[in-house]
Amino acid sequence: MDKKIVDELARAVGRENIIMDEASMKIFEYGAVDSHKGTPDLIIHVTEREQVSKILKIAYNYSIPVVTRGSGSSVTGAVAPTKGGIVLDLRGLDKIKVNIDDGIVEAEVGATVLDVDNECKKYGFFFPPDPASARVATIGGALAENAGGMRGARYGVMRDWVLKIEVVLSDGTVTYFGESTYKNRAGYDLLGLIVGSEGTLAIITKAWLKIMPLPEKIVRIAGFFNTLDDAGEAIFRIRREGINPLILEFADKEGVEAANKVKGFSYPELPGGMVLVDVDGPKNGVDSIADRVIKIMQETHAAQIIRPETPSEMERIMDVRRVAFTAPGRLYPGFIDGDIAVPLSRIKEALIGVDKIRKKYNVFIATVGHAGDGNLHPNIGADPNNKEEWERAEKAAEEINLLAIELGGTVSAEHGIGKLKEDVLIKQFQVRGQMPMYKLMKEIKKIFDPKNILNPDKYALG
Amino acid sequence: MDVLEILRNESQKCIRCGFCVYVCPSWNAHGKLEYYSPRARVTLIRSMLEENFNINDAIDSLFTCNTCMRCLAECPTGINVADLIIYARHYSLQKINKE
Ligand SMILES: Cc1cc2nc3c(=O)[nH]c(=O)nc-3n(C[C@H](O)[C@H](O)[C@H](O)COP(=O)(O)OP(=O)(O)OC[C@H]3O[C@@H](n4cnc5c(N)ncnc54)[C@H](O)[C@@H]3O)c2cc1C
Ligand code: SF4
Ligand code: SF4
Repeated sequence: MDKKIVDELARAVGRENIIMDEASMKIFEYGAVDSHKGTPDLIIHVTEREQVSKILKIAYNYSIPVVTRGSGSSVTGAVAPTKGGIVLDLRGLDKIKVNIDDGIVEAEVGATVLDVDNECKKYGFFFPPDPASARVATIGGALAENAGGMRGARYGVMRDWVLKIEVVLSDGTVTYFGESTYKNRAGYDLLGLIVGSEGTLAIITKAWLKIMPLPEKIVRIAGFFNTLDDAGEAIFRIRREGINPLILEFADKEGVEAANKVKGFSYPELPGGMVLVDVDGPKNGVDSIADRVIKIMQETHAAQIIRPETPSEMERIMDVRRVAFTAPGRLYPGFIDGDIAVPLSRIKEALIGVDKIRKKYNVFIATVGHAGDGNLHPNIGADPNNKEEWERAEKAAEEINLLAIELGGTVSAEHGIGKLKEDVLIKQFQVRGQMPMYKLMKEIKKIFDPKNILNPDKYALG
Repeated sequence: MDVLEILRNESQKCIRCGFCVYVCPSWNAHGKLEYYSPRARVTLIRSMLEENFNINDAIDSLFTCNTCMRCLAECPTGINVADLIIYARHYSLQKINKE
């Protein structure tokens, strides 16, 4: 990058916050897991919100790409600086303020979802969205990806919990979308537009989020199954019979195996995997709901049912689900993220369909997911240096996405598009008659970012 | 197994999730600069093996780890980053001596 521009940036944010050494360039080439990469020209370690506007004014003036980054835990190549330019590391913006009277928490975007949740817990409240990556997912990254999580079965995704955001537009203008009220009908829903836009429309610097009182009691139940058919039936029936679980998660045999190895556990490694359920409610009411879940698991032939009693036992079994997501990483140098969602009634078909694809292409797939909201992550492991194996893996990934479309579902439930899902996104739009919407998306991008500097080359937006 | 093979086998397991970053005392002590995080250290070791990156250009990243092993407890793929760093330090010093 031109020295003149670097000097201008240094004057705006302090030279100590500008990083240009070769090692750091390597570190910021990637997000998590996938193989898309790009080398930035420089990295800015942002320490104050006001710096973001100053940086964007300069970037806009010189038409320099800007890739905004939280923890870089997104799994689709969304933070890979494929066009070079500036990477903004926003983790220094981490202030959190809980406001119980208004039922909200105000958070700067570099704070993690877990930190926000923990801060709320000090007051007897919690922040419902809880991606399995909550310990690293920043509020900015989670909003820009519209992340979901374990409690999504009950509480949905980030969009459902954000009331207002402070944003910096591509030319450096600072403005606000939404209000810090539980209801607001003033203006188009531009807040909703920014959520899930993966840093392509504006940079979020602060958020006002809704919170909830902590449940009195949570009961956790894990069922281990001999067949995917039975596990799928259990998931379907738990929802269909009107139980409103807090969490309804799935991890297949490969995922449980990986967790046992990494954590030294010995949970059953059965072909039908594990279904994990949390139910919550008042102290004296929740046991009867838990009994209903156990009865459904028995009727769907669970081989073993575990109801952990102590907080540490509960945490251990939740760790199985968290680690299961990363199973391919332990065994293979390459990892392709899967993130499909299907209508709730078709979850069993999706599980069995993925298993058929696994066999057809003879690839390693570990399927985990937020089964309660129809979301599965069939994650593939393969060696990118083994051309033949990698091609099989890519074909399997594509077929899984096509399966989701065929079942009336979507190729991206919560992990977003980034680089990885660009082709299948367009495929889905074509099949569903949504090409006019895609055209509007491109127009919207032009309005927000006329110079195409905000996370360019992503989201099938060019 | 030689040092390079150990480094290769272990560093390949890294999915760059960042779970290890937040617990790392050296990352926290260095104002949350990624360069001083376990994830960065593993990435640089991998770059050295796969892209000929000269690890001695990141010597202070390697040597600011206090081998407390907090990152191991967080790592979902079970990488013992502290062990890896000790091997990488040996390798780096050998390289300096040779040069
Ligand atoms: C092991 C593992 C488990 C995961 N589990 C889940 C899960 O359960 N649910 C789920 O939804 N996801 C999950 N993810 C994916 C990922 O963690 C989430 O998408 C997370 O919200 C990303 O946050 P981040 O801070 O790491 O964002 P980053 O990866 O840094 O960025 C993600 C995107 O957001 C943009 N962005 C970041 N900050 C801002 C900002 N302030 N303003 C505008 N744009 C911004 C970036 O440009 C990029 O496009 C998981 C990932 C891993 C590795
Ligand atoms: S062992 Fe090193 S890298 Fe890991 S947490 Fe401790 S100081 Fe950080
Ligand atoms: S926790 Fe493990 S897999 Fe994740 S970034 Fe750190 S070393 Fe890599």
